[in-house]
Amino acid sequence: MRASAAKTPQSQSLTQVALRQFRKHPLAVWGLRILLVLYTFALFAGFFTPYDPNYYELYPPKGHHPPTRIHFVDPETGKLSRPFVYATKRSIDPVSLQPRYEEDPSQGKFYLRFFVRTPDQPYTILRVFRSDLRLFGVDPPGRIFLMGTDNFGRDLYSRLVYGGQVSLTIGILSALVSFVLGLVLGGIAGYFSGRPFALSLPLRAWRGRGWLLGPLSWAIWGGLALGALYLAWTYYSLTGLGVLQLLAAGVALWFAFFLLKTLPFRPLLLDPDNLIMRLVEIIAAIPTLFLLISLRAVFPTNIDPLFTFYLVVGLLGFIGWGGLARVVRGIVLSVREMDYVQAARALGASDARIIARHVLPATASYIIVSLSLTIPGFILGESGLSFLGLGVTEPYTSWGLLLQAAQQGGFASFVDRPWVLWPGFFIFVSIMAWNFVGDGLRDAFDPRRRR
Amino acid sequence: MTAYILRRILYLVPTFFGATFLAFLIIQLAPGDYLTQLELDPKVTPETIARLRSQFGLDRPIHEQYLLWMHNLLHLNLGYSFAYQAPVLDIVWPRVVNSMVIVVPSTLFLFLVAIPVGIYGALRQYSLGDRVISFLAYIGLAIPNFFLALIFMYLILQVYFRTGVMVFPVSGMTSSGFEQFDPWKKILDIAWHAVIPIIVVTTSDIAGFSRVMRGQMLEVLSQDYIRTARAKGLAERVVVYKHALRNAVIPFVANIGGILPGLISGAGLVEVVMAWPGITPLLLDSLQQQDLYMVAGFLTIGLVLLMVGNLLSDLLLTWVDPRIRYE
Repeated sequence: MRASAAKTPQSQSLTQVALRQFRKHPLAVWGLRILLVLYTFALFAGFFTPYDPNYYELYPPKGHHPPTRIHFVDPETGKLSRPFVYATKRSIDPVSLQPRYEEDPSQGKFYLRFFVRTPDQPYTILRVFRSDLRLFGVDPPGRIFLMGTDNFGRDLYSRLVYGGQVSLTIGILSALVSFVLGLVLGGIAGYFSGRPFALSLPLRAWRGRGWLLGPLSWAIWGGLALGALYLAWTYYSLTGLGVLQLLAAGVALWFAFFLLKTLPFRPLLLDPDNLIMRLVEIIAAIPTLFLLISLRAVFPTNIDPLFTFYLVVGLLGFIGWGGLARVVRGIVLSVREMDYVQAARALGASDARIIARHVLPATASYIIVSLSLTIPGFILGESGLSFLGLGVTEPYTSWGLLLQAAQQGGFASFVDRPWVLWPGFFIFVSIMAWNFVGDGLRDAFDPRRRR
Repeated sequence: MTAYILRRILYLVPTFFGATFLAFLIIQLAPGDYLTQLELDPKVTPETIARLRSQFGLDRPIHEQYLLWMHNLLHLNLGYSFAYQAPVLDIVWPRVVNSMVIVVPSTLFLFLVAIPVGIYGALRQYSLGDRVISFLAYIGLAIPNFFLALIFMYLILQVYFRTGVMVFPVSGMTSSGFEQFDPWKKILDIAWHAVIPIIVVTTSDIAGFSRVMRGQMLEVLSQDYIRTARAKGLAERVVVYKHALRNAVIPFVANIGGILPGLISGAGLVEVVMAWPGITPLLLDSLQQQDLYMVAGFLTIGLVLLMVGNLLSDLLLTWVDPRIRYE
């Protein structure tokens, strides 16, 4: 494997090697292309959709309209013609009481037109550029619903493209949140493992700044001890005397005694590694779905939709950082002992410099790979949460929320109207594409998997 | 070894209290409590609410509620469900058993299928079979469970409308008239209903698991000691199954403890979509109703099982991998 690298005359940077390897991975390249298309659609959602995602007609209503059939053959002449659609006529099925739509050729043909302007339905790109140019559309009263409509009669295709904005960005944003948390906490845990922080100042260190920090630290610890004693007392007064109560009192007293014995003479040491890893353990101990939902329940459901969006991002990110922190800690722990880090320390480099210049770069390739492999998980998490109605709310929409329509109203909702399943395929495709890219990146950065 | 186990158990104590308190706190942080919804009912007088609140102990400060609950918990009493007016264990246990009907077979299938598939993929890397399996695994990984369930339901119902044959039931756990069935038929009926949920749950797990297994196996097969084993003329079977496989499964053994809480924590959204009376729908309802002790009690069972499971898997590791030793 080293020999192949030696064959090339010029030395290449890790990024160059990885890029070249990535291009050799056909699935990964395809994944990247699919993602490019999906994200382009999401970015220029207004341009690629024929209608505003929240637009619907009051009369005649178009609820549960099936996908519009596009005709390529003129029925009168039997020859190929420009693609066109017919307007539809609505009637109510006497048995199921569901709306039925039939093509109505009497209103004439509505030709599919490209680059149409819809002044009554303007849109913005990134809320900055205003426009009303759309890739395709038909003249009213003809309608084109590529994937049918929802119960209000809103165009499902337009909603799907707009939903992609939320679903696709939530994945990336949550991954970033969990990465910042995981990287910082995992990095601290790994780098300072075995080098505990002093969390109190003994009497002899009460000099200069110590005059302020010393009593403060004592007060905090004293408060904790008093709190423990108070809890033990409450426990006793609530339930009476027993073995458990004595045990609780014993623990609290031992804690107080330990503080009394230690505080004046020695600093209290706490290994951040222990603390952070315990925290990771605690979070990991609660099943993800339930933790997610109970955390979501902390906030009321009728809050500002935009805030809900950020809330979902934050929650998903908060759930996901534990595993990453664990791995980062492992990497940092091993890098810390490497000769080059020891050399840097011997040369007098500060902790900050060592972390920024030597430790973090060592985790870079792992982070890129694992970032791309965790994003699909977050897309999945968001879709599940929205599917339960706990994720993003109207007027925003996401693929999970759109798929919820398949669950409402019994089997008829997706047996009679299979087009409501479309959002699921987009979740599937985007997750698959991200997985391809992630696998490609992993192989590209892994010297043992070079081809 | 005994000292190690004791120390581990001692370390578990703060984690246990931390996690239970965290769960308790999160549920309590949600605005209102179980009785808030009752307050909207004009037929219920404020006095009744106040009486119920003091009866449920909901008028006490959080730390007192937690202490009382923990006190009961240490006496193996999980608490009392507000919504069902019954002890939590009595409500949760039948639901957990229902969920296990899906989870236990799917866990078994997971190991029975994923490990051989992973080994095959590693031994015949880039062969046609490996490519097909890899591709299927990608699909299985990418498809959300609840969406797969919806697709199955759609297909089955389409077949039903075309031919009138219900291949598998798409909703619930029992047929109508279940009560009158004889025991043998009851078992068959439940098994028949469980087929689709089991397939759905297993699909995504197998996909991920077999890919990791394949990666592990590939990694081990490229090690020097495998070359040595082949060089000294060992049978390929011995090389693969004795030298490679045993090393490749080490990471799985390290995670085997996760199975134990997984067995009781249900099949997830599939249960919601397919109206399976498992633990997930119950817990989602309880969360919505703020049925405090129901949620906290269930999470505690899962927590204890997770801790026991992790301890067991660490001990198992020493057995599988003699290099790991606890002093």
